Amino acid sequence: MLAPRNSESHKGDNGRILVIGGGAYVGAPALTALAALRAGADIVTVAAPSSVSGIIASFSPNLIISSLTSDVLVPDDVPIITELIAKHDVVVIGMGLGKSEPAARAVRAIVPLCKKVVIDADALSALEFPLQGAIITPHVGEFESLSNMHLPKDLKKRTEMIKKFAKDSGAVVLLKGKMDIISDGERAKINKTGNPGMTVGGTGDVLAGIVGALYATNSAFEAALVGAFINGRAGDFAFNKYGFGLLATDVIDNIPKAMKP
Amino acid sequence: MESVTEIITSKQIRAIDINSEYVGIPRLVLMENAGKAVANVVRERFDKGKITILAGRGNNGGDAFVAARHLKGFDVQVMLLGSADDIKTKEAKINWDRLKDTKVTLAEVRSSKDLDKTYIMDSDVIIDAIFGTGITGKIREPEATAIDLINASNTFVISIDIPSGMNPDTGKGEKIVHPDLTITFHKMKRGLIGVPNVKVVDIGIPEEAELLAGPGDFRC
Repeated sequence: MLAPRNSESHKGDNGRILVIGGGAYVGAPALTALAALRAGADIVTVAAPSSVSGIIASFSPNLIISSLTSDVLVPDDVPIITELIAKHDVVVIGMGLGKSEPAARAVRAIVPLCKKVVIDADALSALEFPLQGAIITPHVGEFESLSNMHLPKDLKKRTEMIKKFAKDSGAVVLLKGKMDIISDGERAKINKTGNPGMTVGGTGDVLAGIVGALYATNSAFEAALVGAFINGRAGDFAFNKYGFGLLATDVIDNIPKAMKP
Repeated sequence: MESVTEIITSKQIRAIDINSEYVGIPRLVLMENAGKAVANVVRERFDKGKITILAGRGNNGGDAFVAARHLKGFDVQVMLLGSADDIKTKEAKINWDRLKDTKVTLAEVRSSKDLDKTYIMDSDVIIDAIFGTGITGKIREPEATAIDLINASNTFVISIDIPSGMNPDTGKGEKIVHPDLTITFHKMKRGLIGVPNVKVVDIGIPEEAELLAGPGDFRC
């Protein structure tokens, strides 16, 4: 169960989230950042390559933007990012980075610096295991390529495999799919919320933002589990209204409703 | 699959309760199954006699009200600690009301003076359902005196889910019932490790309530 919010808390106590993304894409890190805010984070900073940071800033006045040096994430950005990590509780990395070699090298340098990190999308292909304090949020294809394992169709067998991978890698795994599987290597749970309308682009970025926000004040397993539940439920509310025309931004709008009893 | 020796925390119990409802098995059903399970265990050991049920105002008491209803043929008195108006949950209230037209004797114990000491001491079985796994705060009256009376009796004492007064996660408490038998529900609690004669009984919590993410995972 999630930690209750203290009524005496002040700005920052309920989560400072650093989103590292963008370069190849512009919208993805903004979706993550806005989702984190809607999920209850107090402060969200987006660190993005200078080529896209201005555009991301223009999406919303609620975002704080930190501009990096190049047109993709590069190892030269690591000093700036190291300073930013110290000022935040959770790092969410990967959305919209693109699959360039410099970005992969930068990711490999950044991830070990983070106490709590949510790793998604393009950052997943750059990982080295074991990891500590990490939640990884791959879909089936991403999981198979990062683990060199083939996932069976059978849910029970698939769950056992995810559990074993979580144990061996040290990371909490949130495998996205029709049935999400969440495991910390000891426990494994299934999430059934969500719908086929959520195959639209950007819903994975939203999920990473929710999980990041929850991770600030909860354990990695609970953040991943409850994040998956809330994201799917918000998507179900959006589906009721928009059907297969739902957008990732509709999912974000429904996060507060999905977090209510 | 995990065996019955798997241990759950009080936090997990609260989550499982909510998630059971979410997957379609409401608390009233679980309460019915729990109370029936208690009555079955009593029948395995006794075939007639006088039973005192000391019940609190929460769901633990509610489980005992169901047990009372299923103990036909026994001479049962339910002593509710407090007034019926103060029963805390909808499910417990429903099951209290269901006892009104039965042969079960109902008493509302508003202060420790109202406790029928002679009846309690003369009973063949005492069922302890004062506090469950949701226990919080200090133990007040008349609960404190009731716990003392149970412990002073030479009667066979059965605690429902957990001995009253015990923190299910630590096994500690300022004042705890010492039962002859504890019937605990669903899975073992950490606090019960080392307590003699604990029986774990199934109350029909669906597997999905623990396997699937649900609102119980984020609501207290």
